[in-house]
Amino acid sequence: MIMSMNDKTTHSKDEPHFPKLESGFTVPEGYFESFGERLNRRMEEVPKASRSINMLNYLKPALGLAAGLALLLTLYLHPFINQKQAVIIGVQNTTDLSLIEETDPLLNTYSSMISDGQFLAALSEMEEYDASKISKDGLAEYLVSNCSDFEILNANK
Amino acid sequence: MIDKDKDLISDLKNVEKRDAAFQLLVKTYQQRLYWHIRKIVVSHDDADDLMQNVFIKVWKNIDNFREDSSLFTWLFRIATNESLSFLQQKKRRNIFSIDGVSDYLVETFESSGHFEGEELQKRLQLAVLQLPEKQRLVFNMKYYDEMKYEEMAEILKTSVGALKASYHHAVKKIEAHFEGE
Repeated sequence: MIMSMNDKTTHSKDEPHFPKLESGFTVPEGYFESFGERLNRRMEEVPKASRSINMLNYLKPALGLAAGLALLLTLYLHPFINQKQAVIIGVQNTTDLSLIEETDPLLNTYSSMISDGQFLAALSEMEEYDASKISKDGLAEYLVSNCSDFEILNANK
Repeated sequence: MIDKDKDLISDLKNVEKRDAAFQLLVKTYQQRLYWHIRKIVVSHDDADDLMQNVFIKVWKNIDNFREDSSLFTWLFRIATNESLSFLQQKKRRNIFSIDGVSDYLVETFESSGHFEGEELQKRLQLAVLQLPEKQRLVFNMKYYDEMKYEEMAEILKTSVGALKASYHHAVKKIEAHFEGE
């Protein structure tokens, strides 16, 4: 069966100098008979898969919009949150809250934004302090060490 | 184009007849397509997976088939592209280095099973797997599948002259491989 590699006399230029052989590859038994059935099963899964991808595609813009809104809301509310904190700090360092509320209309606005819980917490903390004993230097040191520049600026508005 | 294929294409584009026509298409071409793919990717499992992909692509794109080539050519072109893309993906995923396609295929050949050839068939297959991609493809289509150069030129979108040159080089390399053994 094996032809000599040097026997070139019976072959044209393009024909190989080795015999015609099959590839020798085989398939599992009944492979071609069952292929159509397996293909059908896989094809039934294809539309399902593409549907779930499409659903995600439909949701993408809505999710993006929701994320964007959340970001805008956070950026919009951030100064007010800081202002709330600044007011609490202001309350802690003030002897007469009612006087401040009367003279500072902005504080009235802030007060309406502070929850009752936060307000009570601030009041109870205030009671622990004797404001007359807090020096100006002590107050400045407290602000520097506990508040950001942004908070201090907002508190000074 | 063969009349039988024309009818088949017409039925595939007809929604009411599509399912039955597709079953007939699979039955008619599955074996030729499988052996073509199998010789490119070597592994039976990969060939099976790729053949399913080919038929799914055909199913999805039959309405876009312009019929400027035969159904056979179109199917073989899709199968060839799918198989070569599969090997390219393997390359990109660094499963083997750029120069190592042959090593990967030889390893697959040795380990994947479903080969019952005699010693000479095995030696020939190992020599074929050492060829550059294009020469290997052309050699398989000409030597094993006995395809005409004109058909191959349509499938691979290249000239007959270039194919003849590739086949000639492939044969010479395989002969040199045998002589060097």
